[in-house]
Amino acid sequence: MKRRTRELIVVLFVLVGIGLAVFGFFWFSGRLRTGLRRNVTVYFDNVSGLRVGDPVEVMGIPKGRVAKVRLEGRRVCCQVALDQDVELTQDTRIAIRSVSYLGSDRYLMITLGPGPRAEDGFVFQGVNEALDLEETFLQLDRALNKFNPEELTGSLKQVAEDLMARIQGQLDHFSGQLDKFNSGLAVTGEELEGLSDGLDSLAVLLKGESTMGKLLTSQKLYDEVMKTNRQVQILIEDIKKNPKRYFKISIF
Amino acid sequence: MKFVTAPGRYVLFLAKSIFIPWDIRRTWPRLVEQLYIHGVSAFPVILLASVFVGLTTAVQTSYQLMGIVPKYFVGMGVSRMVLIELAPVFTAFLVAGRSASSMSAELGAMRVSEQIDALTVMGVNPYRYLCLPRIAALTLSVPLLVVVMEVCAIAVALLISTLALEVSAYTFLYGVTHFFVPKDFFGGLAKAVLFGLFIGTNGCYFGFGAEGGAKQVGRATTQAVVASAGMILGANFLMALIFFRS
Repeated sequence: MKRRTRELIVVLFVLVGIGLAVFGFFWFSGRLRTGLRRNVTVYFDNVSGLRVGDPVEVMGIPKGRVAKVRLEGRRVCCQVALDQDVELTQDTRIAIRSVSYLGSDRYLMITLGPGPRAEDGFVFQGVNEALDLEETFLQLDRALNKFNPEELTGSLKQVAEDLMARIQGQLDHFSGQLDKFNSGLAVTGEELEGLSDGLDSLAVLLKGESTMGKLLTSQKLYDEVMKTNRQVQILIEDIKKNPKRYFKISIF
Repeated sequence: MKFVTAPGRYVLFLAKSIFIPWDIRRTWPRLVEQLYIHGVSAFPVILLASVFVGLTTAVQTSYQLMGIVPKYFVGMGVSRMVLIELAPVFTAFLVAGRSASSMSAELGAMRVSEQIDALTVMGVNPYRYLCLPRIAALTLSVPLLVVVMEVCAIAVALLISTLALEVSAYTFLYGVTHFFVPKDFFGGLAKAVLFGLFIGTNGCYFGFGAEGGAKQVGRATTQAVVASAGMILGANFLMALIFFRS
């Protein structure tokens, strides 16, 4: 390979590498967008970790980036690079929010209001709604400190007494119902006794001392009935075969 | 004793190779040649590796995170892993295996055949003639190759996420851009510069140190690769402490 060609390829390699680095940086940082952006100034009392490059969402759609964050006296001035197609109103609400529940990453949430259009150079006052775990725990701690244990004990006692009274009332009612059930059960027992007597009488009848019992328990009678039955069957069959033997019909 | 003095000799060798008049007019052709050998020629293997890095990272991240956190965390996980760790270290290992071995073998062969001594006798500074272009070429090539791997791996991860992992391109890129920290990108490049410097220096140092015959040249080659791998890992940890300590 000629020296010139090799040099050209190497220079091309270096240029492609540098180009890819620039392209990659703009791509990964979300700056690779068509169309120009305009800067909007927002002041916050506290940005709690908002950084340059953090995303900006207008009604939930990513529309820009935080361009600058700097301290100005006792406030924080934040420059926001917004897409040209976003038309801010004077009552636009700009809030810092947390991406995750742990509150480590921030973004700016912009909610447009119904008011008149904000001209270029209009300065907004933002609010910080990012989840600050330390602050949350401090507030919880303060709330717990406000608790009066004696007052809480008195209230709990009152609640316990009310509860006991209600339970006693319910128990009394249940006891009455149980008495009623017991008396009903006694009547049912008497009726069952009568039924038992009746069943005993029937059993005596069937044991063989009565006519029905004898009929039911006599083997001889059973054999005779069976024998008669067989004879009747034979007779019927014979009648069927030779009806003239038994019936003689003459008209004239 | 030799082990104790080795770091000192290494630093001295690096200083002798770099802190000399560069003589750009004479060094340029050799720098171009070394850039071609260690940079341009490594392009295809880096490209191939980055495709698989992108594919694997996307699948693994999706497997780890899907159903636990929102889908855009796949983009975040892939991009940060690739930018901070995978691209610089993987590229450095590939280049170390490819270039440190070839450099130490080449210079070792020159040393045992007394070509380096001949250069000295002729009044040519062997450090400037042989080491400077190699070290400079590696220091420049590795970051460029790292950038190639970063962009390619993330683009491939985006593609596989969209086509097979049910993560839309918008969601993936939202994760990439939303959690992008410039420090990750530049930290990865700074690592790459250091890794390139180490690989180039190791290749030359162990090649120059070869004594005897072919066996020692082979030993020097192995030492160059092993030392490069060890130094890459050690430097990676130190750079993590410097750049990415919370």
